[in-house]
Amino acid sequence: MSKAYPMPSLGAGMEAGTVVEWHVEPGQKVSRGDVVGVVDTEKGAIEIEIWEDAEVEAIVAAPGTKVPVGEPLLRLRTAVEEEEKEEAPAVGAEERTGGEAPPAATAEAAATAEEPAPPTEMADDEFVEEVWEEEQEASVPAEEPSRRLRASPVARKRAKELGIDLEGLQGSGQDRAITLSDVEGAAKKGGSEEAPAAAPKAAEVKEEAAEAAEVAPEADTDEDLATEAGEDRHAAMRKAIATAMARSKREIPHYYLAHTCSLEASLRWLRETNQNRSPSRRLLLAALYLKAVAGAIEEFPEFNGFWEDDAFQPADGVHPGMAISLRGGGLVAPAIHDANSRTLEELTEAIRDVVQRSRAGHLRGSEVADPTITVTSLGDRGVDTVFGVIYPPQVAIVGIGTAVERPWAEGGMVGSRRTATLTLAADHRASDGHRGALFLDRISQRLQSPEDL
Amino acid sequence: MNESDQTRVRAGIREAFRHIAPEVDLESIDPAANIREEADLDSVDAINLIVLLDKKLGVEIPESDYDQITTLQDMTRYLEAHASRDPES
Repeated sequence: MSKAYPMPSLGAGMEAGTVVEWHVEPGQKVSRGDVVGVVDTEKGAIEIEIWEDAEVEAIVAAPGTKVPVGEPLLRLRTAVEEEEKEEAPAVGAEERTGGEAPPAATAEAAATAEEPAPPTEMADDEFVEEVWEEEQEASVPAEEPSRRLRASPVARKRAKELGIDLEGLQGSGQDRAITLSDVEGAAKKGGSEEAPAAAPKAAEVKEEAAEAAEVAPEADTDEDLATEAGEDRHAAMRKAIATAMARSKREIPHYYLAHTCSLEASLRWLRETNQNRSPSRRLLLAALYLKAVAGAIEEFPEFNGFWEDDAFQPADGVHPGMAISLRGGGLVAPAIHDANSRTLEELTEAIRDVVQRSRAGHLRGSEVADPTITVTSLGDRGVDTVFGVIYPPQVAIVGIGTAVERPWAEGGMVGSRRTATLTLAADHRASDGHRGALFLDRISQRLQSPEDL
Repeated sequence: MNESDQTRVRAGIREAFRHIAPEVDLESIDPAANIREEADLDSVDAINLIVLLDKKLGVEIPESDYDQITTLQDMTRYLEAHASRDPES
């Protein structure tokens, strides 16, 4: 069966995204969970994944194309109704693009179907390794000014393709890193005098994709692309945060609760556990927090889900989004999937991984789109109490303050304990304070027996 | 401690920071100031830094020694001391 693979919605308020690159080509088999390409959004460059086993039939949106949420990016052929594959693609394609290109691409797909998939992109792990290596290479001439040059891998790749020297560019990304937009902006600027503009050049990279893009309804003009390219990434993210937070405060009747709990048990257990572990296997306190919250959610599902169409829709899984501040400003809260059923080791690894990827700009679509509740810990920044703002359409955010030593009365005696203040900001349309209080208390209880987390 | 150990340790620290906090210019940091505050490292950055230093220099810093590496100066001294005793594994 032929079907469209649409631009995913990566969070409330996202209207469109720009295709950065494809990791697949027509004829290639893909499996559920594979990263098929990268899309540029106000949350940065996001790796988008496929949701079923399929074969790529055609690339509908070429790199550089801005595509509204829900409009087709690719055409896929799925295993079901295999016999229809002669006709279905053309029919489906006609509906969407009125198209000549898809049949052409289909022919190409058929031609290349038997060949092994070309290694167009690296697997994810190798990719991370590659980033690290690139940075190491860059750092070799340590005393030269070039050692401060920062560019995203995507930007480096495109600059190479366009023959642009990164040295001369002004970075607009995080930490002044050079982004894809900067490279394309430079190509456009430089190109206006002597060479064709960036978009046609970029199109050369994947000819079959460009063909499809010419008939794609949402293909931008060079002019639009240049405007887009000049946009400051920070400004775009700021705007996205502004939209979501303004909507939250406008629409969501928040109520706030706080509960100070002892962290002695957790911190002691963590110290003992980590004592003989090599650095890479040491557990993070953040993993304990995440697991404590995720476990409590199982008993308090009304805090895990979305307020949509005037009703609470409980989420299917427990995917807390972890608020991560980006160096140089901005914030993302990617999902740690199924946090309730993962071990503390797995959660620690997931947190370390997602923090690094958030800051390097390699988040996946599912991580951005899936959070069912947010957990924010400003503990590292010396904050006692976090008064959270819910990320719509979620209905709750759990805040965790700094672990500090406080006077603590217990059994008629005053001693000192390391403590943290847990807070809950929740949507009063979806839950009430009584349940909120019990939810916070449950999180606190779970932190008293870390060995059971 | 010979000179090559010292160079290796300094290069290792520089590389680790480049990865964790690329915008930080180590040269401009007060070597006696708290490095986590100076470089704005959160707890995840901190553990990633420790992991990288282990990988680069073969020095496994136990949690109980974290209070000995709170400044750039102390960190350098600590790593130099342990790297020379326990060369590349």
